[in-house]
Amino acid sequence: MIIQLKKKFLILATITLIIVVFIRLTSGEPTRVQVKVDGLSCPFCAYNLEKKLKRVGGVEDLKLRIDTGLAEIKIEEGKSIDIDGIKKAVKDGGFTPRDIVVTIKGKIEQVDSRMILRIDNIADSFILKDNKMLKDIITSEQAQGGIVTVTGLVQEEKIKGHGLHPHVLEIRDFKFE
Amino acid sequence: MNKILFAATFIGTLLFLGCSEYQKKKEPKKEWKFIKELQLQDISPIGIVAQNNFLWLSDVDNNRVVKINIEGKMIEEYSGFERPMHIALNNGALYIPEYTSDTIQILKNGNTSAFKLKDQPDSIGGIAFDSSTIAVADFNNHRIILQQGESAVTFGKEGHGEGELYYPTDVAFFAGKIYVADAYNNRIQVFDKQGNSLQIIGDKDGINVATGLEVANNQLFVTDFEGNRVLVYDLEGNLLQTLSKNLHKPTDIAIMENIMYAVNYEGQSVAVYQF
Repeated sequence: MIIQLKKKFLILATITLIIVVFIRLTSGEPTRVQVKVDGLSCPFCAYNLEKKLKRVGGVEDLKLRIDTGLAEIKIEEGKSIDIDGIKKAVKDGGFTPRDIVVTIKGKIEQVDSRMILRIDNIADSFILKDNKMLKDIITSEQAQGGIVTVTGLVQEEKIKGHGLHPHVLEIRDFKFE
Repeated sequence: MNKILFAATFIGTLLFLGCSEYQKKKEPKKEWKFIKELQLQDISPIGIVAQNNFLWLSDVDNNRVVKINIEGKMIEEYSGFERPMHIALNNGALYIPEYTSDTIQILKNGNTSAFKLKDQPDSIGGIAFDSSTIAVADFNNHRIILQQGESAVTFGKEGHGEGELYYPTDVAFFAGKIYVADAYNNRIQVFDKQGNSLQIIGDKDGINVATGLEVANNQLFVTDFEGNRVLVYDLEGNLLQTLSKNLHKPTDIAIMENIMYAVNYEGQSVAVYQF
């Protein structure tokens, strides 16, 4: 009787552990994009920008912070970030896009001579700009196959023709899973 | 004899003129004066219209319209509108332009229905009625849609010159003319129903985003959003008065007899003035 109960408990504990690990791997911090926009004080302009941004593919939700001039975008799970679409939407809304900062989860890998962040769950990646933060991640033991959440500034330069996301990311902050 | 008569007439005229001037000085100049500010709880108003002794507000941040009494207490609320902007009343129904969906909803006796526009706008800033004619401020297309029955015409195009518009946000009819809040040209432009530009008002008064307007009692009221002011003009375009007390990013005006209600988007309140 006790052995049977122990067995049931073990099975239950194993299932719970699997669920927890699954949730841990598939959820966590969602992909977010912050766009700095000048002149967002008027609600007609702000909601015009909201309207344009919501039509960009992958945009699940968005919050406009009129006081700081920030558009905070939540990207739908499993969808890539359409940086060019976001830039176009901002321009169509009558604004000039300034800094675009993304917070994204993935694995650091080397492809040819470049370091990239391969984004979790989707066939997309960002080329990473060589800086101290990137070196810190690479040299960290946790980076060996580990998942890292990085916050980085999207660079103006684009590198095309390598089958990767053409946008370059400069890491400003990171956190290991 | 003639000399005496002439002198008497001259003195009489002087006395008459003097008395008239005295009378004029004695009469106080009629002006709009601030009375009070109605604080609104969790309402971010953009548009306002007066109906009997109530006020309708479009609560853009919360996607709803609310009805408040003249003390500022909420009586009714209707949710589910996609960024409602400058609202209008027509035949007892409330017309609600949705900025995000580019449609106009009609709210009557608690029921909503869709108003059919014959032309496709891109972000409706405001609407107005003149009996069966509706005017629509088509924000992103920099134009006005004028619809009567089955026919719709448009006028205005993107620009800063006469007859051109730059992000219009509000519109009103008065005495057969169409008054447009030419928001980012920082002025009011008046058109006839054929779309001819008749008059430009306020372009030299330092307006910083003319977000809303109202025309009533032969006066034109303009909200200066960034300037935190309401400017009052006569219909010739002469500036009569500049109001600034308790105005915080105002966006619209409603007039109820000699009372003016100005909505403060940032302040989440309604400033009340009396004439």
